[in-house]
Amino acid sequence: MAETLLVVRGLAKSFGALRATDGIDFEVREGETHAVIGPNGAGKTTFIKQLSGELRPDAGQVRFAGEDITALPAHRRSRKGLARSFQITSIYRDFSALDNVALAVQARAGHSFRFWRPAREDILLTQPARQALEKVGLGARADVLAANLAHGEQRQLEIALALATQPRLMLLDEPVAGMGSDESQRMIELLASLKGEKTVVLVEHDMDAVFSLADRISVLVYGRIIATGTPAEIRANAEVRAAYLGEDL
Amino acid sequence: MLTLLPPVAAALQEPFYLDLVRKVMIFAIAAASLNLILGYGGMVSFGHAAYLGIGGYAVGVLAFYGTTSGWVQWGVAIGASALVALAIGAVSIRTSGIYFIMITLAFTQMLYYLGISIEEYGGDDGMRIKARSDFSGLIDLGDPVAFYYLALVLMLACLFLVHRIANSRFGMVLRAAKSNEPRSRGIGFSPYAYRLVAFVIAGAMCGLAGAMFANHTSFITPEFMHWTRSGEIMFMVILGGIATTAGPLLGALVLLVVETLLAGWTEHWQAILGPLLVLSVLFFRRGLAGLMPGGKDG
Ligand SMILES: Nc1ncnc2c1ncn2[C@@H]1O[C@H](COP(=O)(O)OP(=O)(O)O)[C@@H](O)[C@H]1O
Ligand SMILES: [Mg+2]
Repeated sequence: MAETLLVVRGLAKSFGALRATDGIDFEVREGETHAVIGPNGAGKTTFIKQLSGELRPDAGQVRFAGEDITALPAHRRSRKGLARSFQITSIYRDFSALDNVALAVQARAGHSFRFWRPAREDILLTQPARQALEKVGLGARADVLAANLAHGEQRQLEIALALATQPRLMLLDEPVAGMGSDESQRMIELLASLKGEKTVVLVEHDMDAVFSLADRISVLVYGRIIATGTPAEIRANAEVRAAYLGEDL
Repeated sequence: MLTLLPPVAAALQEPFYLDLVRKVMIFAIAAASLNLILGYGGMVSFGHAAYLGIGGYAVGVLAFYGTTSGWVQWGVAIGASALVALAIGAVSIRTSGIYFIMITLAFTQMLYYLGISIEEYGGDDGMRIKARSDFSGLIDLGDPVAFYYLALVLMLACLFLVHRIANSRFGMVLRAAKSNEPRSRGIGFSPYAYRLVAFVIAGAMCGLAGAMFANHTSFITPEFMHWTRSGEIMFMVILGGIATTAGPLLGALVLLVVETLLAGWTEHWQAILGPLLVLSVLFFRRGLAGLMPGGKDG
């Protein structure tokens, strides 16, 4: 069996009286696409933020590649190979698409205390950046200002940013959210192309996307994981059906 | 164009213009240094005149004790400004928004009152500098034309330096942190160290402008560090065009020329200048550089 890349134990985070994540145990195997589903407000984004380091958990532990990273801030986790895309698109809007991705390449290339050579003429940055843009289907849009990209393209750019840091684990928070059907189809194809190359934690509402992409699915309800299993197992799970009453699994 | 001014001014027997443009160039250096942290780094420092003062006092105080070597004076001006910027930056960069503005302002006010309180160096009357900085006879700053060309060379060097830094890997990290800080953390950058280094570079560069300004006026006073001075430098940056290469020069030129014209016309020039500045900011959002072909560089 594949090695376990991420191990989460007892992760808890409260906002006042609200237990947004309430003792989550969770594992991600090297190479798998592990979907996390659950109703709105279940705590999925809060969970992802504790994995990426944006939020400090109240209790619990996060181990990544055998190392306890619970106390590390976001930028240190990123350097260790954890990349994240945001539910609400987060890109450098006043940079070109290429500059966006080149910056992520630069983050991977070590420190940036280099003051003289123009970064935009640095082939060590621009070439991998162009490759990442090609990969997500934005090859022809490299010089467009990120703010002027269509919504779907901005979501693709967000994936390119994560890819360009050469992560071992990608945390994708609703990459298909708010897309038209053509756009979401393209995004699903892109995510499918990552399968086997990247380990992915995929938070998603779009059930077509989830059931076609995921190797395993965890169901998060009221801050707790109520079931983990293959898509077939999850479909058959009575508790999950109850939580999704009315929704078509 | 600026290169040709001295012979033209000499022919017209109008040394005043030479003096004005030299002052413009010195302030262009100060504005360029602020542009690095404000324009590219998004750090709204409302205390940038502190380094003008430190640079100026380095020259004046050393001269007071008999050290007239320009190498020493200007070296101390730059070094002391860098150190003070390191201290102020280390504290203020942990904050953001209005707190950052207030802290940088507060530090500069402290230095201003320090200048006022030291009677030996003239207190709030300021102090005459008897001799200009002496560069081993290489350049005579007493010669207005030589000083003019030195200012021109140094200004071009500083504008170019800021341009290179802004477009380097370092500069891209700085601009990215201004554009979207959570994103930067998400891809692996912690902006603090980059911002602090930029803050120190800007302080050092403005310290150089301070050393030049003390030689320009042959006089130092706490007014160098007054908050209105900080505001003036900031206006130059905004008026000229934030995060543009030539903006600081354009901003310094227009602001100082308009100031001079208004001052010659009426005593209440500041009452007119204020609204003019507000209007200019409203109407040229991208500054004067944005009006020029190729002026809105990234
Ligand atoms: N910073 C916060 N402060 C207070 N409550 C929050 C905060 N972030 C999220 N919540 C609450 O925590 C719960 C889980 O939110 P979230 O993790 O965004 O859910 P999901 O992503 O599954 O829709 C929601 O009830 C939300 O209102
Ligand atoms: Mg969410």
